[in-house]
Amino acid sequence: MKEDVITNATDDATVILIVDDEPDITTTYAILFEYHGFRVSAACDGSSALKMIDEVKPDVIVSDYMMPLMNGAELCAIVKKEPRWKDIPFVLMSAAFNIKDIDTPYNLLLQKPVPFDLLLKEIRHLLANQ
Amino acid sequence: MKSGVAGFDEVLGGGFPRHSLYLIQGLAGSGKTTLACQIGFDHAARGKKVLILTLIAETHGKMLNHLSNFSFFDESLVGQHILFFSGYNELVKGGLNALLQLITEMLAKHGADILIVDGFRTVRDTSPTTISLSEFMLSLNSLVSSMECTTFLLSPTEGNVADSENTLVDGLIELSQHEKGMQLIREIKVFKIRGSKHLLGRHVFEVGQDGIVVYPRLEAISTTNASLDNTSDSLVGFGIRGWDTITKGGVNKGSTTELLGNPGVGKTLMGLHFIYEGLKRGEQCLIVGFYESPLRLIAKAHSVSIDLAGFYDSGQLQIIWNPPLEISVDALAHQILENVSERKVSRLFVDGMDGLLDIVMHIGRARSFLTALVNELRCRQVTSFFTRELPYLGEPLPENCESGPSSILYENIMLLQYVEISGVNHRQIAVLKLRQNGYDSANHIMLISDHGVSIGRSVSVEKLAQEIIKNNAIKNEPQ
Repeated sequence: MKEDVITNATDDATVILIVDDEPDITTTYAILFEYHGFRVSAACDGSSALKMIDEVKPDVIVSDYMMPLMNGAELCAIVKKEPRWKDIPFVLMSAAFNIKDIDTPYNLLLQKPVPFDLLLKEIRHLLANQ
Repeated sequence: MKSGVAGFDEVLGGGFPRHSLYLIQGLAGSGKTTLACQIGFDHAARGKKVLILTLIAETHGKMLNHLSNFSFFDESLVGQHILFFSGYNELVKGGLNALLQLITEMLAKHGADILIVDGFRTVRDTSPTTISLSEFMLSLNSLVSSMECTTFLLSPTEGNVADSENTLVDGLIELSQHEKGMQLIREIKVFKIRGSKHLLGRHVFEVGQDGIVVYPRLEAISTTNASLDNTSDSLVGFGIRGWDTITKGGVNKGSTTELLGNPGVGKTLMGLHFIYEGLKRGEQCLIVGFYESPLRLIAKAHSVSIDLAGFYDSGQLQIIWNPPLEISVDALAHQILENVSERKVSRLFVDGMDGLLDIVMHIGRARSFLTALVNELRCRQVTSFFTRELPYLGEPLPENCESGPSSILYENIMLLQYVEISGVNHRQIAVLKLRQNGYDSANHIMLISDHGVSIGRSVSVEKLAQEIIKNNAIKNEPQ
């Protein structure tokens, strides 16, 4: 398991916070996003992510839905309620097919597994619309 | 707790005792995840809450993708009644205590009825000492019991070894594979289930579109039914007058008969006569074949004035046809017995015992399997005929013809052979063994015509007549 780290990217690079309890997912996305010039931080669940946001100051949050203790929908609701964080684009991804939390104020919902090219394109699109 | 897996509860002795801890083990590709998830989806469909916790295992997305191929998969349950989580981070960062705390919090938060932990071998790999692993197993067992959550641990291991994962669980189930030549079958074995009288030994299972189907080993089930031998004294006729005469009325209802004979001598036709007689009497009949397809068999019968087509179309006659290639003998036995029970079949004709024996994968199992099958048929009062091939013309009878399985398995044995009389090959039939006494033990000439099989005089009379004709001819030759 990779520790929660800020990767070696340029200071002005876009920062992505990846939140997922599956370590192979966070590791893979971290490598790929770094390759595309992003700075990446990773958290293994919702509560860990909350503790990191002020320090990491992510430009976008990409979170899994089903995670222990605090799921992605709960995390999203808190982020969007907090005035300091509410404008951070939030991408919710889930292996579940029907998420009941339709009131969750995510910016984008994607069905897992998500091809990386699609995820990259959607994130760039979200950032461009900021 | 019912497993929701066809045939599995019978092996388990009724199901899983609830709120216990089970280890399902088996090497890669053995079917652990499918089995556990099939149980999970079955219970989730009935409103239960199921948690699937992965350690080092395939990703949730891939797992769901694989599971979506099965009919038990219901995507609407995922995320609602079935939740997927990874516990690897906690295990690596905080060790066994952190994992146990995570499981505790998860069970408390979600009120889970079933917990599945995939990739459990990782727990051993990250455990600092053997004693700490044992303590973890004890705590986990106590936790799931206290929180009333039936828990399945999945581990890619084999064998009932003295490790704490095996000894400190309430049940141990192993999935494995057995190879014979290029063939492979899947097997399941229950080493232990505390509080349940499970079936011992290995049982075949198959993985199909509906997931896993377990076929409890026939010998293991049959043992429990051994006292139900329903053979009666009433007689069942063959539909061939001469044959009924030789046997003084037929064979006992519910008995088992072997038709032993050379290739092409007429065993199948004799069996078809037996079935046809039952159909005409309104009985439900079943033919199990390995070499001739239903259409070919019906055409063959039609060529000798045995019209099965109408009975086949109406369903009074059913034919189970499987070339003896990649089929499981346990699945076939299950199919036969299920058909017999559901339709109340009274006459069964198995055309090709050799085909049946070919698909018994384990060396030395054939005899016990056949004993169990015959026992089950007797319990269901099915009068059964089995054909068995003898060597080609001119070769001697196998030495075990009467002392082998036949004499023990079958109450009645009929021998069909070619016999040469004055340079001509004739068919003859003889009763080698009949459950009731008082049969005609002489060899009789058997004739096959467009009207089917008929039984003639005894061979000795026929042969005598031939000799007389021959002698007269010699005497009348000009000197």
